[in-house]
Amino acid sequence: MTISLYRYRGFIWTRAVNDIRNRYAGTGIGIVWNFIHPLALIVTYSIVFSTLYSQKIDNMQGKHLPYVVYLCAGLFPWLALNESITVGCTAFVANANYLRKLPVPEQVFVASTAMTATLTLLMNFVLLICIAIPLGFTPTVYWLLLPVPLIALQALGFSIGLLLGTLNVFFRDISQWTTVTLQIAMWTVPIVYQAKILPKWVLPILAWHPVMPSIETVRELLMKSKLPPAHDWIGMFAWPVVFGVIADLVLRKLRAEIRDLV
Amino acid sequence: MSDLLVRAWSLGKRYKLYDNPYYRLIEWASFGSTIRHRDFWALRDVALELRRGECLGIVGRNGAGKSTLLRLLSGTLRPTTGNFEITGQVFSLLELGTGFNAELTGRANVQQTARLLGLPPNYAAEHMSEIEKFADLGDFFDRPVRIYSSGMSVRLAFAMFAAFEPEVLIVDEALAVGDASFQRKCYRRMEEMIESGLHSVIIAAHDTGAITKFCDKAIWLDGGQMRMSGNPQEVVQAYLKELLVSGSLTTEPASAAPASLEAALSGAPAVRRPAAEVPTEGLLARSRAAVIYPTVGIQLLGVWLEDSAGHIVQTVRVDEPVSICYSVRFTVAQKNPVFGTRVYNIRGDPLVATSTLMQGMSVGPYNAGESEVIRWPLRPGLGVGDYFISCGCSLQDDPHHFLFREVDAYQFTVLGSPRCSGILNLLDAPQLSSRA
Repeated sequence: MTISLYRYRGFIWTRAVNDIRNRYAGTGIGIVWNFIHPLALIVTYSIVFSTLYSQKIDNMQGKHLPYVVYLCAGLFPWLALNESITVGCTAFVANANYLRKLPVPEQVFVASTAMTATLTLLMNFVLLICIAIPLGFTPTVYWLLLPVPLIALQALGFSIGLLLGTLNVFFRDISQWTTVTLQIAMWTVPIVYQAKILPKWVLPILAWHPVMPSIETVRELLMKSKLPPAHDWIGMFAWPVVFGVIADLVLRKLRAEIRDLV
Repeated sequence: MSDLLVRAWSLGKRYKLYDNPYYRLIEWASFGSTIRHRDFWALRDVALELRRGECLGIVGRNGAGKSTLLRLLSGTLRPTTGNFEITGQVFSLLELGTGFNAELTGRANVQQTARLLGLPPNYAAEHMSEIEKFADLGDFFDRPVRIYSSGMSVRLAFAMFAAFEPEVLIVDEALAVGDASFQRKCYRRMEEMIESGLHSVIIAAHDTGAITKFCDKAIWLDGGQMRMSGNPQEVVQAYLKELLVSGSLTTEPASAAPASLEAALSGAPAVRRPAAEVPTEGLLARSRAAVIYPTVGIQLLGVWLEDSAGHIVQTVRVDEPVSICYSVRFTVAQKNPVFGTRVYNIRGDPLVATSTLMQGMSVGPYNAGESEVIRWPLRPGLGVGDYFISCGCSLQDDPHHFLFREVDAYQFTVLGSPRCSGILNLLDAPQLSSRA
């Protein structure tokens, strides 16, 4: 699977770049919209949380930091993961036109949607960092490690998207269920709220959440400027591998029939 | 070089048909011990071999498995049984276009397809000017594919695949969409590819003429199975014969009636009015190849053949003249209608097409309720075989506005001993000076 992805890297990359470039094709300021949407999100939340709720987060050094950075550090990765999974889930059906006519490996299309989401995520993080500095954050070398958890999370999104995308060819309700489930799933992770408001007994269970290690790591690196504990590192890489292997097995098993049905 | 480029053996494709998609889940859950699907074999036990420089033709009705076979060979379907080996690149022009991205320009689509086919990064760029020239799309080459007509997509697709010079090129019915001059160009290009001895071409077409002309071998698929394979002439003949017997000749889209070979229909038709007698029996039955268009204010009462004595006949002797007759009734008054007819043979060669307008006649006006019988005298000259009659009525001011139009709708047979081959029997027995 990985070999064919490498072989089609050119296609995956250009398609993702084109997707981002063409997303706002026909609009006056075009590509700038890619920044305006996350910017609007950040500004809205920072106003809401600084004036209405005046939520602050401690960074363990007694300093209070704006809640909006905590929120966006979790929300942006989640939105990207959400996009990778939901769009990846319909990737085969949406690209039936290609699958019917060209002998391209199926997973290439899921990979290109995951790549699009990843590029958007990285752009959003650049923006977030640009805003975090004037809000009182000092850049550290740890920030250079930020792409690691973000890409690990997107690898998880790709694996889950591929798994669901394969099944969705056979059972078309899956894409709808996925959208609904992800909406609920967002609240199973401390993104909008903080983990400390949860009951104590939930925390050990939460550690097994596939999304948790990456989001934890992002926050540790960005807000506390320190390396996260070992179990986060293991989880961050293990989950994408686990789902990747499952997706690969399912795809292998069903591959012969996918193009019969799209 | 005569090395084998394509070799397929006992190739089969089975589709599983489920009445409900979730029955599949039941099967999975039972680990295969419950069967909730019906098998449909689109293709069964097909074997073929193709060497460099050879062209293979595939004939068969719709649903005979042609597309399935081509999709298997192009790698977009996986065979259920058997397998195949292809040496080198295989590109296929299936259906319309080839998975173009509608938002990208023609040029960008060529680049994307090259990447999708796993070609080297600069490959498309190197061939771009050649593709641009061959596709002949003008400014459209740099505009989104979304605004292309289907003919233009095919032009782009063919130009691209021909330029990439695959070892094996697969062409489905797609070419039929292009206009005649582009089709001619495509066939010429394929001829070059075949003659260069480096490539092989596989064609599936309704245009059996193309198959007899280009192919070195042909296979006939029927119900997913190989009915016959071998010499294209023989295969095509057997195939057409079978179509005729079963009466399901594929229809060709009606084209503007060409005015070639007009001479075969002699003189002007006799338009007799108001005596509108329609024979009660002996009318020709509508053929199953018929393409019937909606009627406007007119009724076709019947189509029949009359011999020179005015008797209704069902078949025609080679040496005898015959009249093609039809009768219509106007339900709406018409000032200047134009009656027309044409005769095609089964391969779709336009033998003759003419109209009252082309014959320099002015007919009408007709009141509502009036009828007319039109008799078109046909000189002897058709060879032994089967023929299709089309008839229609349009308006003098707007010849493309048909009041009624029935294409390839009536069929008749010319019997006798064939005294010549070819399309028309225009040569009589020769005179010899020694016998004078």
